[in-house]
Amino acid sequence: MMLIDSCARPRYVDGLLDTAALLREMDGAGIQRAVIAAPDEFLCLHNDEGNQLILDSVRHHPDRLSGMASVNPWHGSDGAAALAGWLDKGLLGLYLNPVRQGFLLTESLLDPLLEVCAARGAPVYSSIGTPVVAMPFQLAEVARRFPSVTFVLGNASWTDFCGYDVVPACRQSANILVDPSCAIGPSIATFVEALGPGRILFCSSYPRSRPEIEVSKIRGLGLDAQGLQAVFHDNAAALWRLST
Amino acid sequence: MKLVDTHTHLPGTLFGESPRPIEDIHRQFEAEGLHEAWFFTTDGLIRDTVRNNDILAQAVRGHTDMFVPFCTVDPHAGADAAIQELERCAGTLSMRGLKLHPWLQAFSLTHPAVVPILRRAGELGMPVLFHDGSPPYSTPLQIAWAAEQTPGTQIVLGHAGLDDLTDEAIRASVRQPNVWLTLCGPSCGAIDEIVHRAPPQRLLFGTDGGGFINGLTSWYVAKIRACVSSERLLEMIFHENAERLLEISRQGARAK
Repeated sequence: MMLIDSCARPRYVDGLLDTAALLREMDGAGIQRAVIAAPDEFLCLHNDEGNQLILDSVRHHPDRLSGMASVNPWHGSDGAAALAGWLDKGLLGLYLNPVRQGFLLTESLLDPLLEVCAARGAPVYSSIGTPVVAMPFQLAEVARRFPSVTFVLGNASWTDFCGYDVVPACRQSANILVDPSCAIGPSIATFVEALGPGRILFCSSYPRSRPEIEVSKIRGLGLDAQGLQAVFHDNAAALWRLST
Repeated sequence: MKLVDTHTHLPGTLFGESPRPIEDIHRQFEAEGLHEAWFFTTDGLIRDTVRNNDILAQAVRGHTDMFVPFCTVDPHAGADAAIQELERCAGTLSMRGLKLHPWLQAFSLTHPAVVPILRRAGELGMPVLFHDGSPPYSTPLQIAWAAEQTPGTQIVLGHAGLDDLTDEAIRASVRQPNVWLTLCGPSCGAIDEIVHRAPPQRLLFGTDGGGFINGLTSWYVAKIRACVSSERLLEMIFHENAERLLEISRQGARAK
C-alpha cells in the first residue's frame, strides 16, 4: 500500500529546507509521498520566500513531494493574489496556522484566501487545538460558509480537552477531514468509529511528531485493509488529486 | 528498564469509562512493564472529593507495591477545610502526594487557599502534581507562580505544558528548582525541546493511563525512546528522577 503523508514541514537549516532529513524519515516509515508546507519561519512573515523553498523542493523531488502554500491572511487582497499565483505554479492547497499568523479562524480576514481556494478547488489545512484562536467549532463555522472547500482539521485538535469537540464539529460540516497526528491512539479510535475512515487523513506533522510513530498509531487501530487504504492513501489521493 | 509512571488515574465515570477491579489494573500495569504508578482519582476531581479519596485509598490497600496513592482536595472548600482533608489523607489514609486539576476543579492558582495548601503539602512530604497546559487556569507559569511561593514543596507539571505551552513549562522548570516536568502529552518535537533545555534531573515519565487505555504505556515509551537517545537520560526519566522526587519530598517533611 502506498502511504501518503498529507502534512509535513521540513526544518529550515542554514538557509535551506532540510528535505533530506524528511525523506529519510519518510523512508523509515514507509511513506512514499508527503505534502509539505513551510516551517514556522515563513508563516507570519516572508511567505513568498517560504513558498518558493517549498516549490523548489517539490520540483526537486516530484516523485516524493507535493506542496501547500502559506499566506498570512493579514496580507488581504495582495495575499489572495499571491495565493492564486502559488497555486498556478503547482502548489496544491493552503496551509494555515492561526497561532503563528495571529488571527481567529472565524474572522472575515480569512475570506479572500478562502475565496481563492473555493474558485480553484484547493484544500485548506489548519492547525487546530489552541484556544482561543484555533478550535474545532471555529473551523466548522468556516467550513459551513465555504461548503465547496475541503478543510483539514489539524492534529485532531490536540491538545487535550479540545479533542472532545472534534466529532460534533465534523458532524456539523461534512467538508472537514481529520488529521490524527499527535493525538493518542484511543482518541483516534473514537474519531474513526464516529466519522468513519473516509474522514481520517494520515498526516505525520513532522517534525512536531515523527512519521514512524504516527504510522504505528494508525496501524494499531485495528482497521481492515479497506480502512487502512482510505486513511493512508485514498483520502489523500482524492483530496490532493494525486494520480499515484 | 525500570518504569515509574508518574501520572495515572483510577478509572471512574467522569470520562465515560467503567470502574475496574484494582487487581485487573495491577495486572495490566505489570503486563505493560510498569514497576510503580502514581495513582490519582478521576471522579474526585469533579465531585465528592473526600469520598473519592477514601475510595482510592481503599482500592490500593494491598497493592502498594505498585500504586503510590495521591489524594485531591477542593480549594473552594477553603484553606482550613482543604488542609484538614490533606492531613487526613497523609495520616489516616497513608496517601503520599496531592493531585490538583485547576481546569476540572475550576479554581485559579491565585485562589487564596492554594498557596497554603501547597505549603502544607510540602510540610507533610507530599509532592503536588498539577494538570497543566490548558488555559485559562492551568498554564505552567500560573503554576510556577505558586511554586515560587512554596519553595519547600515539590511541584510537578503533569503534562509539561502539553504542546502549546512547552516553552512556558521549560522556563518554569529552569527558573524554579522545585518544578518538575512529566513528559505526558507533549509531541516528539516538544519533547526534543524539553530534553535540550529543561533540567534533565527533573524530567519524569507519565501516561495519564489508568488501565482503561490498553497499550498506552508502550506507545509513550516508544515516543520517548524516539526522542531521547541517551540511555543514561532514559534511566533518569523512566524511574530515577521519580524515585528521587519522592525522597526529596520525604526529606523536606523530616526537616520541618
